[in-house]
Formats: sequence, structure tokens, C-alpha cells
Amino acid sequence: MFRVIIIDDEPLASQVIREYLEAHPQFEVTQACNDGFEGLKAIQQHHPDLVFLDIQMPKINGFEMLELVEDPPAIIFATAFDEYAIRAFEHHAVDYLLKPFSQERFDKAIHKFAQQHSADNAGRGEKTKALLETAAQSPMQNDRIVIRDNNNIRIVLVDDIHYIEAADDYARIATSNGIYLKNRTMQSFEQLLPASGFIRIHRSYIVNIKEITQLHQLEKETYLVLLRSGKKLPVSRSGYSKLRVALK
Amino acid sequence: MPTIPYSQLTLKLITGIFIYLLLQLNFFTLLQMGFPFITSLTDSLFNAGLLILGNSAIMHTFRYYQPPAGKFWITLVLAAVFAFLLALAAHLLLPVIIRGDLAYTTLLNRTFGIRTGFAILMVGMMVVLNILWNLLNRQGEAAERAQETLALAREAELFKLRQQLQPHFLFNSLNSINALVGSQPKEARKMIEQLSTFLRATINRKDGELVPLAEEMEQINRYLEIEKLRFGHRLQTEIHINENCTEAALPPLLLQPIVENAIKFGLYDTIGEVTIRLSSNCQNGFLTIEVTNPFDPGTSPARRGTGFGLSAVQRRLYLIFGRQDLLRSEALNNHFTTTINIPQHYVQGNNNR
Repeated sequence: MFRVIIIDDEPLASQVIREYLEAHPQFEVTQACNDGFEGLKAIQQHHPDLVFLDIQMPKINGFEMLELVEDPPAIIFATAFDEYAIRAFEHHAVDYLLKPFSQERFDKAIHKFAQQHSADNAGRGEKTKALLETAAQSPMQNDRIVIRDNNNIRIVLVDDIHYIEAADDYARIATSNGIYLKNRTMQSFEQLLPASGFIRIHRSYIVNIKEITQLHQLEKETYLVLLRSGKKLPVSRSGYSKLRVALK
Repeated sequence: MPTIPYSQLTLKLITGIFIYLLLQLNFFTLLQMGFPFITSLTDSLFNAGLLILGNSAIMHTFRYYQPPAGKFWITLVLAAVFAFLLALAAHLLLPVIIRGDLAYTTLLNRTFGIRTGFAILMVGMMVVLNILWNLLNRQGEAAERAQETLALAREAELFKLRQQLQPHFLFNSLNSINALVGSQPKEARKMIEQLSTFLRATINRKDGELVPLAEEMEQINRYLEIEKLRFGHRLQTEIHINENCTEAALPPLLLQPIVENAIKFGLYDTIGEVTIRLSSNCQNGFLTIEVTNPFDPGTSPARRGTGFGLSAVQRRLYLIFGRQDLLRSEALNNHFTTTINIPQHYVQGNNNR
């Protein structure tokens, strides 16, 4: 028996999937969720085998929700989202269904899942990892970052970030409301954040240009930036040349 | 701007008046000098006739020929030579027509210089007039074409702006219908009808025609009904149309993207029930419509400017009314309000402002 969770903000859309699943008695719908928050909670709680996931949903979209799942299950996207955008995920997800879809198309997706499930349970881990990385690079919402803070989900606007500090596999994101941890590399942040607003001033620091109040010279070739919050951050040599260009 | 009709007919008329005035001058001067009526008339008519001949030759030449910039002076010199030939023809032919008048022949000989001068002046003037005339005519035509092209481009742009109907909406609606077909076929039929009517109205609308608010609201209501079916009880609407507004005119499908925007941000920016409010008022020659939706200032960046959907509306209002200040939006206490003002005393088709 496979446990299934459906995450879609339109009740009728969930209803279609339930209906189509009736043809596959070995699948059981554990829960149908209306948004990413509920979805995340349900996944953590029930550890389903398969999730049907919509992309455009309230507050956090499907990709953002996936980012927050620790050990993601197999995913079938079911969405009216533009095809080209979802192609990026084609190889990572089990399948994607473009709404509206037929029972036949749905059965194919289920078949694909069943095949993959029996073929290699071990390979799935790699697949979902790749999926998460793609999700992190999704250009859909690059003006905000979704963070899990204990049991809360926080949405941090990119504009509100003061600086980001590397901390092993994690990154510390400093904002006016506090510091949040996110497991993502500095490099991926560098790619995500707009180059016009953020600069990697040091191996371990990315800073929001708007937060800088002063650039201090400590010694020859050694600089510090002073942020509005009073925080001081070191600047590397290459960081300094990037800063000079940006602050001109 | 009042424009002169640069047609060949007007040109002929103007030249005709000039030649006629010259004829009068010629005739009365001779009469004054004591020449007999018939002599004065023949002399002046002959001169005028020669000028008319010369002029039609000039008109034919310059109608399709525009002297290049470097050849302008050569053209004038050639015109002077042509005028001299005309004067010479008169000088040789007139004594043949008017015979036996010694005083007249003497006068003819004595005034050859001044007659040549007059001929050169007249012909030169005609050449310049013809060149300028045709130049302005061509420029006028080019400007007309440019304006036509502009109008076409604008129409195309308006069309494109209207077509920015969310494909999401269409596919998700079809998906809802797909769901209803199994469980509630009657509802499915109803929704198919609603969706079709909505799409038909979207496709059939013509730009440039304003529609009454009541008609536009019918379309909005169809849209809202479909959205309500999709989102179930999450979506509520409150619509208040002032009674004196139902006949107020506005560009078709202008409200659509505003309501779409409100629903999109209302539904995707918050969790739980969402109420979209729409109200309208008619005052001071403006139809004012306000659309309000809830939003979360903490999670959605203060939308840069007005957002894409709204900037298209702004562009459209500008294209139609030539004003940039007809759309406003503000965020206040978790509510985002978009206000549009539609001038009611606008004369359609008056685009040359």
C-alpha cells in the first residue's frame, strides 16, 4: 500500500486526483492539503510514498515547499504551470502532469512511479537531492527566501537581508528580525541574489550594499565594512575591488 | 493645426490669380498711356497666354521631378533662360499681331528689358512655388502615412495588452471542469457555459469603443463566478456599483486585469478567506473604480511600482486618454487598493492631442 498526499490549493483539482486514484487501489490518500504549509506538515508527519504537488499556491509555492522538506518523497507535479518552466524538473520528479489531464495520462504517471519504486529505492535519494538543488535555483521567486525556523516557516524578503555568513554546510542569514539558518551554500546565494544589490565581500560573507555605512581601512590592504546595524564585517582583497566598483 | 490642401488644383488657382492680376496691370498701364482699348487688351492677353503656357510646362515638369539640393540654382538659371525665351517670343510675335501702330512698336522695343525682367520674375516665382508646393505635399503625405502607421501600431499594442489573459486561468478552469464532469455534470455544464461566454466576450471586443460599466461588470462577474468555483469558499467578493454609474463608459476589459491582479495577490499572498472589494462612483466627470484585496506586507515585497498587470493597464489608459495619472495604487493596513479614473467627457476618435 502506498500512502499519497495531495497538495493543491484548488479543491476541485485535488478531487480529480482522488477520483483518478480510485482506479489504483494500492494507493491510499492520506491527506489533501490546501497550501504549502499544510503540505510540509503533512509530509513530515506521515512520510508519504508519493506526493502530488501543485506549484502556484498561497504564500509559498511548490518549489519553495520542497526546499524545506528534509527527506522529500517521490514527487509528481500536477500543475497548469508553464511547461517550459517545469521541464527543468522533468528528470528529477517522477513525472509532471499538465492540467487538465486525463485518466490515461495519470495512469502513466502512476505506472512510472511504481516502476521506479521497485527498480531502485536507493537511487531515489539522489534524485530528490537533485530535485532540491533545481528547486533552489528556481527563478520563480527570487525576491525572497523561505526558511524553516524550528516549526515555523519564515519568508525573508531579499531586500531585508543585511548579510549572509557562511557556517559549515549552512548559511546564517542576518535580518532586522534576527538570524536564520538555511542549508544552502554561499555559492548558491551568490547566484540567487541580485548582483546589483549584493556583493560577496569575503569567502564567508555576502553583504547587502544598502546596509553598508562605511568602509574602513585597518591597515594597508585590510578593510572592514561597517553596517547600519553596527556590525563589522571583514573584506577580502578581491571583495574590496568589487566593493569599490559597486560603491562608485 | 489647419493645413493647406496641397493639391494641383489649388496650385493652379493660385498661379491663375497671379497671372490674372498681372494681366490687369498690363492692360490698365497701356490704357493709361493712351493706347487704344483693343491694342491694350491684345497685348495683355497675349502676355498672359504666354505665361499660362509657360506655367503649365513648369507644372508638368515639377509635378514628378524634385530638383536635388545641388541643382537648385541651375534650375533657377534654366528657368530664367526659359523666361527670356518667352519674352523674346512676345517681342517677335506681338508686332505681327498688332500691325501699323508705330507708337506701340516703339514702346515694345523700349520696354523689352522690363518685360524680360517681369517674365523672369514670374517664371522664377512659379518654379519656386511649384518646388515648395510639391515638397510640402509630399511631406504631408508622409506625415499622414506615419500617423496611420502609428495608429496601426497602437491598435496592435492594445490588442496585445488585452490578450495577456492568464493562460493559468484558462487551464485551471478547464481542470476544474474536468473535476466536475465526474461528480457534478450539471455544474460542469454551467461552468463550461460561463467560461465560453467569458472567452467569447474577451475575443469579440473591439478596441476604441467604450462600453457601459454595466456591460463590463457582467464580464467581471462571469470571471468571478469561475474563480469562486475554483477556489471554493476561500474567495468572497463585495461589489458595490453606484446606481448613477451603470451607464458610465470605460474601455472594454480594462477592469479585468485589475480584478485578476487583486485575486492573484489576495489568494496567493494570504491563507484563509479572502474578500475582494470593488466599488464605483461617478463624480466630476470621472468614473472612479476601486478594487481592494488583502495582502501581507511582511512577505510580499512592496510591489515594485504597480506590478506587471497594472502597468499594462496604465499603458492602455495612456494610449486611450493620453494621461499618465489615471491609475493609482496604494498599500494600507494589509490592504492593497487600486483606483482607476476614467474621464467621461472624452471625445472618441480625437487622438491628435
